[in-house]
Amino acid sequence: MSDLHETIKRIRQEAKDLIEKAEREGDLLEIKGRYFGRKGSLSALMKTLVSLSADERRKAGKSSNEAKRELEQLFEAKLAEIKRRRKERIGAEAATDVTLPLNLIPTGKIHPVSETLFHIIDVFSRLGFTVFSGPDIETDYYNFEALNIPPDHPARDMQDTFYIANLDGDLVLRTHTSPIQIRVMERLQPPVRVIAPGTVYRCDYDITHSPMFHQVEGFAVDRDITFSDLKGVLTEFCTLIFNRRATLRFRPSYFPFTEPSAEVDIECVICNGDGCRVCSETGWLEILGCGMIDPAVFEFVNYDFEHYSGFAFGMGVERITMLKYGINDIRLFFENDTRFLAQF
Amino acid sequence: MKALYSWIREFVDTDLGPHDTADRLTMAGIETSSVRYLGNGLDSIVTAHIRSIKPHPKAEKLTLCTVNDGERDYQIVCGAPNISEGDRVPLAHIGATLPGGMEIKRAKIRGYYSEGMMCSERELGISDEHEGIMILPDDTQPGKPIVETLLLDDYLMEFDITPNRGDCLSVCGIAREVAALGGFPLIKPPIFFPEEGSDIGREVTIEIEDYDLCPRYSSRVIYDVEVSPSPLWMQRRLQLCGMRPINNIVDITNYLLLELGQPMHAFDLDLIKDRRITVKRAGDVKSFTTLDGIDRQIHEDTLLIWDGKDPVAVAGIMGGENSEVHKGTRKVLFESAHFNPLSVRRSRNRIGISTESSYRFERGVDPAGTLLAIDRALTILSGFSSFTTCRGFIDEKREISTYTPVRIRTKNAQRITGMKIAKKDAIRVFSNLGFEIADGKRDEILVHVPSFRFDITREIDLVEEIARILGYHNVPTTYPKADIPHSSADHEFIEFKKSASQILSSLGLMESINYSFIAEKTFNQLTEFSDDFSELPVTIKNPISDDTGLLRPSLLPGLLKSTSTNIARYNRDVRLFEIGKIFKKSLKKDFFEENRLASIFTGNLSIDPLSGREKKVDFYYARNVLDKIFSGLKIDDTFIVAEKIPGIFQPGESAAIKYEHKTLGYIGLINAAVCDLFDIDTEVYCFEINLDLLFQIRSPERKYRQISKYPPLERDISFLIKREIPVGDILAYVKRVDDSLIESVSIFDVYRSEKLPPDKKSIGLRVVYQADNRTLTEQEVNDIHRKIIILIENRFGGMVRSS
Repeated sequence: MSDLHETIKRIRQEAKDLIEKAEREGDLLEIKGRYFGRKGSLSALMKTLVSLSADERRKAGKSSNEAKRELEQLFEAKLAEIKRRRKERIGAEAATDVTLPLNLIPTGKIHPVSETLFHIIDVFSRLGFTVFSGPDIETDYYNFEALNIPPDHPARDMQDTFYIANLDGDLVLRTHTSPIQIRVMERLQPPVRVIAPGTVYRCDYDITHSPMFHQVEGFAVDRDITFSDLKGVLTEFCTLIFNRRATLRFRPSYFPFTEPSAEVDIECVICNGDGCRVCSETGWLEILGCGMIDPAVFEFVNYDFEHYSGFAFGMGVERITMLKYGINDIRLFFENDTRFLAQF
Repeated sequence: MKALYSWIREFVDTDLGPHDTADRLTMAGIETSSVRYLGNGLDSIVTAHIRSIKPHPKAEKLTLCTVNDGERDYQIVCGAPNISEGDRVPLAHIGATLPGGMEIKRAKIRGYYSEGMMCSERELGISDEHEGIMILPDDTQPGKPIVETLLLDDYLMEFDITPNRGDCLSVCGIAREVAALGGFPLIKPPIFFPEEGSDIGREVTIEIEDYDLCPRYSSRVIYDVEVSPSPLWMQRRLQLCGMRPINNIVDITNYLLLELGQPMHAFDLDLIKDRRITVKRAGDVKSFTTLDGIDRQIHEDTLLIWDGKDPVAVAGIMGGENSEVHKGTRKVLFESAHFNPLSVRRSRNRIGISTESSYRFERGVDPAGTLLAIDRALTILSGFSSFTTCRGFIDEKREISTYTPVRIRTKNAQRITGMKIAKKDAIRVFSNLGFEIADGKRDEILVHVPSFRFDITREIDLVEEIARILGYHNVPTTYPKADIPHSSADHEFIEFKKSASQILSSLGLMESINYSFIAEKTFNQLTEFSDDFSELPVTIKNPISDDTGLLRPSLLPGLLKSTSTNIARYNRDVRLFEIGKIFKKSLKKDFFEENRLASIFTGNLSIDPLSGREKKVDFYYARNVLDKIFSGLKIDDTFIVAEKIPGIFQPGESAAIKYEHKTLGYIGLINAAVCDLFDIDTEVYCFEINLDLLFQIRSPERKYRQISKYPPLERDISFLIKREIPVGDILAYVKRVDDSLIESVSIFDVYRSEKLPPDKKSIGLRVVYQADNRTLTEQEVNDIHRKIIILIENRFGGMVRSS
């Protein structure tokens, strides 16, 4: 009996010493398993008590339970201490230089022109416009004739055209995205509300002209579409694209496929209209051309001008991007210098 | 087009100043691009008299001049060779700032002081002439401010006239617009000259044969003419408006072209054979020498003016050398005609010259104004030249209508503009424009549009006039009523492209945009390397440079060029992608366009400053980017095979990207020979895929698959295998051993080493087993695992090292 008691006492002391010396959570768990866990030596000892008298059993049980309780307490205390110390140590060892500049994940960018293009499309999508596209190699009919620009019309001088060498000589690189107007109206009946982005080409090359650039054409046809609606839609568009309340100025102009036609100027985004070098001291920046679709165009696509009216507009994506970011040379867009691309 | 403010004021009685006039015109569609006060910078410049010219003692090419401005003498050091004693010249005093910005200071030139500067025309800002000092008329009073002497107290206005407004290509046309905008009265130019000579019918006969190209030909004849320089004021106006003064006869025709917009021509009548003018097509004539001395090819349909034998002018474009007015000319025939706009345009295109005259005829000249122009010319000419005018005029013409009737309903004007338009307002607009109101019932107005307004033939044209004159700023701002948007595949494709761009940019690539063009030379150099370049190219008929000769059949050359540019600029780590169209010729005359996506990689991907380790881009990186695009764009079941790779790629490190039996594109290391063509001396990896095909095979619709609640079991196998065996094949086969219980198969290690047999590589394969409905037993897993080992050994000849 006293042996038993001694054994319990010895186990208790051994475990106590080990817990005291333990430094890691794993060690502690191991001690617990060995001495006072479900399969530990204390539990094993209790299983041998069956042969003892009831009184001895009760005494031994009591002493074993006491030992177990004390060890549990020591265990919890030590565990808490180890955890606390570990936290402290992590804090102290945080020699990570948080300011170290890293390039573990390389930087990528969307081209500023694409970004503007997607932005324009997003804005018009919100206003209920749907994207339609067309080919870059276009027929004379879609690029000119159906847009009320017959052969030998002086308006053909407004756009220097690249011609494709083909047998019939009737193919061009589209000079604007307006042919998509015709292509869509041939297929769909009003009401239509379309935005048509694309690459366009003109024989021109200098600081503000590129032989290839991007345009977005938009148009809407329905009953009772008016020039005043055009003003509303474009004002909203400019406000969203330049992220500020836009002041627009509509100036009469001429396009063969719209009448009345207008050039739209936005109050200079650099000087707020006070006059600066970017706006040539005028306070205004020309950003797009627009107008009411000419009845002659409706005739080409069999829309009834007595019942329907529509507006159309077209803008240069590079131009808007240059204004947004203060870029002064259009050629930068096509050099693809990574130091340029990384800026946007 | 340029015009002087003072000149415009001769035609309209307006109280608007030059800047207000410019603003009003611009806001009515007559864009005024600049208004410049001509006296700017000329305050301290006066007329001076050269009293003496002596050689500069220390400089051979310089002279020492003594000039007097009416008050005192000044010493000027001058280098111009064209001055003589007694000349009147413009003198800029010390302190003057010239129009070009040059400041005049007291300067010592080779030891002698110069107290001012004598000016050339260019230095005064009145022409490009800078060969010598401007010599003023002998009777100019010394001391007179140069602004007065040269009539420069005026404003030069420049207009960008749209192609539809040919009627505004003249001073008078601009004045008409100003009158319409402000309701100002127009001033009729005075017409008066004596007709005291012989009857014109005795001097010349005129016949039009091709009325379709020349509906009207008017003419007057003058004789006893003295050909001499025009007075200063006329020279100045011509010069400032961009024309070179020649002599009084030529100048007056140019002056009228600017003033009334009617091109005129003056023939030396004594050089007109048979004193006979005929207007007809060129027919058999093959060439003709115009008055600029150039022998020009003539097309048979080109309209010519003929004398009794030969052509004497290309109608509406340029006169001939053979009948040109010269110093000794005594008898002049003035031509003022109307030529068909299309015919003039075609002819000048064929001949290849555009003149002030052809520019106006192409855009429309008022057929009703031919005689007025001649009469106005003779009125002005008689003010400073002596001559005798033949009695009468010749006016060959078909019926010329002076107006076009056009009907407009104010209801339609409102429907288009969204503006409330009262009938009386519309009528006021029209009458201010000089249109006659013929009739008007209810909301209708019948307008007689005068013949100078070619652009107005339809109701919509009148609607525009109303909106334009009332001002677009008076149109309200409204919004169209909402509508359900159409759906379109094009819209989805744009979204698809946008997703691709976002994926690639977030993977560390920069989007580039290259021209759709490719140089013919580049195309030919690449012919042997890829099918893309071995087919017939799409050719541009009128390239602007060698670089714009063809359309690209692949995105790779553009990306290689951009990479090369970057490397040359010390940007050695380049990761670019491009989404764009390529162009190919199919069959005889059809072309097709294809959207492609391509990427290019070179240099370092990243540098870890802690380990100092550089990660270079390699095939696996490029492949991984490709995988991420496919997974991001929801494209399943693509695979890679290393066969039939175009020569632009390096064999052994390249592959075809496939979906079912279709080839989506290629990926790999660019052939060193190709890199050489682009001056790239480093390893470059690329891929290019057909984006249209990718769009078709995307499968955005997904079904959720239950995630197993039971624990997975991982088993690794490592084995030696022949180097050339593709790991991808092993993975596919292993998965098929038990598709339902093998959750995944992956490679955790590929190892090549000298310690291994030379033709072998070591592969570490990890298999994860998992069932949807139960915990797998060791036994089950062991059974499958054994099958895998057998597969590796038997099928792939692997030597299992551990499992």
